[in-house]
Amino acid sequence: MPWPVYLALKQLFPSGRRLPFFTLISVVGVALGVALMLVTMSVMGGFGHQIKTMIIDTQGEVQVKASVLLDKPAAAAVEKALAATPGVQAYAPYAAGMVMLEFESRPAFPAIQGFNYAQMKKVVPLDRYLIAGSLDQLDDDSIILSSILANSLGAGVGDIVSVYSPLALERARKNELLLPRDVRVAGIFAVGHQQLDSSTVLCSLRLMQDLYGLEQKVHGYNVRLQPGADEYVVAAALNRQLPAGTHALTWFESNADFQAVISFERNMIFFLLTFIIIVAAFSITSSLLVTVVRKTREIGLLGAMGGRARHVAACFCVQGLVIGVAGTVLGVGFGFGLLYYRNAIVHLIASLTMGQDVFEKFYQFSSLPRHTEPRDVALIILFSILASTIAGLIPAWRAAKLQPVEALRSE
Amino acid sequence: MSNFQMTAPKPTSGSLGVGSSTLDVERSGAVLRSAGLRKTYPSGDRTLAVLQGVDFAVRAGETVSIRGESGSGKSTLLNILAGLDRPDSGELFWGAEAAHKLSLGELTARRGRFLGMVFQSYYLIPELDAFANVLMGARLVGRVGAGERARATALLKRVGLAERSTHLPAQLSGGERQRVAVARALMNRPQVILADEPTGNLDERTGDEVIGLLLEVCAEEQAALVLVTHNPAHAKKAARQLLLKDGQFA
Repeated sequence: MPWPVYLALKQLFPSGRRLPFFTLISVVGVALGVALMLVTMSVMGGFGHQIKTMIIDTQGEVQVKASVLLDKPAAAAVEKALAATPGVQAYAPYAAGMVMLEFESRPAFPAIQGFNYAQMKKVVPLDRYLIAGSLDQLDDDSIILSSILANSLGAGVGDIVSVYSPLALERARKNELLLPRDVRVAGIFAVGHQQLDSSTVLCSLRLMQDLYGLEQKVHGYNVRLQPGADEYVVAAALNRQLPAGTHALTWFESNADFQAVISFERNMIFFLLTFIIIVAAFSITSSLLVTVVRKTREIGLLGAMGGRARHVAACFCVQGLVIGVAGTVLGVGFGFGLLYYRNAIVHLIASLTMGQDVFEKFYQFSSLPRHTEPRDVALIILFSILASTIAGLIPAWRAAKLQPVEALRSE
Repeated sequence: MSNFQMTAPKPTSGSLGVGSSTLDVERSGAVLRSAGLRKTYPSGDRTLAVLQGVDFAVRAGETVSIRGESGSGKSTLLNILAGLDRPDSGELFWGAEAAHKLSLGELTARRGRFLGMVFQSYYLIPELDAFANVLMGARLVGRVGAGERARATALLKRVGLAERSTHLPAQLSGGERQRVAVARALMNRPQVILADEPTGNLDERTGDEVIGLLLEVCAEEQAALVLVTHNPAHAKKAARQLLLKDGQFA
């Protein structure tokens, strides 16, 4: 082992002695920075990943939308284009809007989406999110409620709720009376997103068409792609074949504003958190500078015994590198440990401060999601080790500049 | 290459026992030789002449002591002989090599093999045990194998510290630390040992023991010893005694 590496390791981790305080503080500083970055980026990634999964699970990777309602010939043209496009695995028409629900004098104004269940189950894995009832019981006289909506209405599976559609207003203008449609609650679903879970109703396509007076028209199609297919490539291929007035959008484009906000927040948080590592690097510089001053005569001795200035410098650079590597390894381990127990920690904090219910109400997620991108971990490790090594350069330069004769004379 | 000012060598007194500074190094048998060393330091608006044309030589296995009052230039001379400092002018030879023509970096590269140093304050590395401190001499010049480990063990045994090889400097007495420093200085089989007040931090009895040990091991290793000391009794133990006064040998 080259002597600068040997001596650096001995100075940082002397055998038979306690870990030096400077080493401990420096390693812990880097470890905390790395752990914090890892946890934050993973949780932010988790939110992004959860939202992506939820969007894809509820609308497919691609949506075909029309500027006007698609009648039967137009829908047939869209379906022809979908069937001819490579990468498309399944598709299902949908119609969407807003309704008013009423159950035992309690009103609600959720979004409603009608679909053909036989087709839709090939596109959207609704059964995965069903927490009560059965999708098989969904017919033209029943609906499925989202969990928080069902809770606020106080309705359960088998209850009869009244549905008022905007069509009733149109009829009222013509002095006609359109009675509300009484439907049975066939099931309750929860996707884990507060907004969707609090105001969504699913029903059959025919019921939705009846409620809105759409006859056999639809608003668009949800499209599921074959595994591995690129949504942008498929959307572009579709757009070349779709009839005028219709266009295909990827899940990301359909929610572009929301995704842009998430991406911006994630990048900003990464940028801000890098300062924690930089502060830790400054603490390494400070510790090593103190070491250089404390060991001035030892540095002089090394020169007197034949140690070259560049090797003395390397000894301090290696110390920065070793602190960086040790702190990073410790930080990655600590970070993954925190991620493993994240929900227990968050629930503990929530119960000690605002209470679990308030937490879920304001933060929309009942559990803290986590998605760790290998690229993020690599970036954090690289940045941390690089910053720590650079932190060793100034003390190394100071040490290399010391003339042995002056260093040996120092008091 | 050299920052030395080359000066015309001048005849030297017989006290050095090497005749003239122009003597051929190979023929003189000197392992360390200087001629006309001059060194000045600025002191306020004056210039303080610390060394004023010092000629010096020591042969293989020879022991030389240098005494002198504080400020007489003993340590400055030792630093220049060790290649740690540069004279304003003069010549320095390490064996046959004109050391005054080498850069400080080149001197550093050769120093570890050519000479060993013993200091008043021991300067052991506190994180390393006695064995590792001795072996550090070999590490610095890039040779650590079974042979070097065996030599470090043998040297520790020779200085009477075989049982304390795993002790850290903080666990050793002053005399023991200096013994470790002596073993370290001898690690690379240097031709010259330069000892700067090696007993300065020791009591009289321990100091006597260390000087005795230093003289014995240098003789066994056939290494020349240049001993700078204040102690007349210790100085007399060397084969040749020199007195440095006003920047010159008296």
